Amino acid sequence: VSLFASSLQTAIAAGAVIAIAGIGELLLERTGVMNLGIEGIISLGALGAVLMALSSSDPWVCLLAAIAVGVAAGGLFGLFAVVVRLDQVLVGLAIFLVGIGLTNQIGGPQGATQTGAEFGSVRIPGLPDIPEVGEALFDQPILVYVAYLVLPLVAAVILFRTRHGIKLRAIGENPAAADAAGISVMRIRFAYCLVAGGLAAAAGAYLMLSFTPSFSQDPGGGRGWIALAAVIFAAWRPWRLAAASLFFGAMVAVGFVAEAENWNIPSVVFSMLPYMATLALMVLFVLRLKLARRELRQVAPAALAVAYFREER
Amino acid sequence: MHIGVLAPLVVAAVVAFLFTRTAWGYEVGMIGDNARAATAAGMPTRRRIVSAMLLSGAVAGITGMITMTGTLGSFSEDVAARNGLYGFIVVALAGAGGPVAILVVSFLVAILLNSGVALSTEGVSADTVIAIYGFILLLSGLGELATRYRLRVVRPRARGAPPPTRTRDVPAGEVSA
Repeated sequence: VSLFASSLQTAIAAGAVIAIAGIGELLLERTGVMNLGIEGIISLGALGAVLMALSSSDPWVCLLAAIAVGVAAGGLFGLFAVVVRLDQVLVGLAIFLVGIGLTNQIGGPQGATQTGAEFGSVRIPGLPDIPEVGEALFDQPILVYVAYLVLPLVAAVILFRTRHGIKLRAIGENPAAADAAGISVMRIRFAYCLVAGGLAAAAGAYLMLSFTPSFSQDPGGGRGWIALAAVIFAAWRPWRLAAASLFFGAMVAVGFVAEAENWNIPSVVFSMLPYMATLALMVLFVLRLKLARRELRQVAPAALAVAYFREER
Repeated sequence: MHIGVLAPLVVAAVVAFLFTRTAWGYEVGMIGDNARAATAAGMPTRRRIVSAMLLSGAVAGITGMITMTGTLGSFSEDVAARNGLYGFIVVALAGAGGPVAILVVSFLVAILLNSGVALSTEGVSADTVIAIYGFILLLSGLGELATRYRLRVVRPRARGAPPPTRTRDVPAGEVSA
């Protein structure tokens, strides 16, 4: 396996986590709700998958357990942020702390043990034989295909090809108008809190069941924060999110290449790289918007992170 | 105790002075409330935002310096721990109250987070404390919300009596997004 092929493999595998968690967050933000706690929910999902793996070697069962945990965490977020309508930033950070704290506390004894259940890779017949890129593109665990193809497709169809998608986006742009049109703002926002929680936890489960199949402290490893940035960078569009995720994966892969090639650069530089690249990309993105005479806030859902009180209409 | 514990008091005093006694602070506050109105009033919005960023960066830098020279006594990779994040949360909780409220809430949060050390002998780890902190945040938000409502005793009315004139359950203008 050449260095290029293995780093492409790493990029795709590392980006999938961000794509899975990011699609959920993207849908949620399109309804005008921002969950800063997805890093914590990713951790909880990883924990759920690892604990389930103690009693079941079926990765699908572990994935389902993780999703159940994530939906519960998303529900907790939704209860406080959407139903009670506390400040979304505060609730998100609280969920992050709860998630990280519980994960490290309960998962502590599982430290560094191998996850019992793992997703095998699915070979698409014939294609993996393509030199260099074949293995990385067509011989991956099933969740990778889901992350880059199925989820963005489903999200794009929901958002832009269905009546429900119009309602969803209307809530994110102008909840008062959507409410007046008879759309239940709270119900749809809460539903997507559950979706985002479930997908964030699925991303955590993917980490444990396929990417690095052993538990460690802070299993999310900051990927939740990158997913949040990726959603902005993708301008709240699903396919762009998939591309952005792959880019962040590539930044992670650069670190691996540097290690393999013994580049004379401190490894901390490469740990910083995904974050520095995020900053650089955000600057480029906003500059590009400026060229088109647009502001970031015109691209973002107008009601993002604003609680909706019917009484204030 | 090291002399660094006085730094928060000094910083809070300086910030309070800036925001209540200088044109710069007034303009920054105004931009935060309504950037468009501030621009329309001729304030250099961008300059003020960037200078506020520079100032906050400087203050954050002081934090790291004090932690290293005072509390830890040596440099470590993890000198920040999650203090930046906790600071962010303190602002989300108490920012509206100004520097004094932030000092008080920071102190309370510090007690809570450091209680993990004392509690660890009871089998409660620092991780549990972090989780509890998260729950406390959620519930404190709930408590703050509850202060905006009041309970009212509604007397059961006799059959056929006219409905009572409705008073607002929520005092006008006190619920904010």
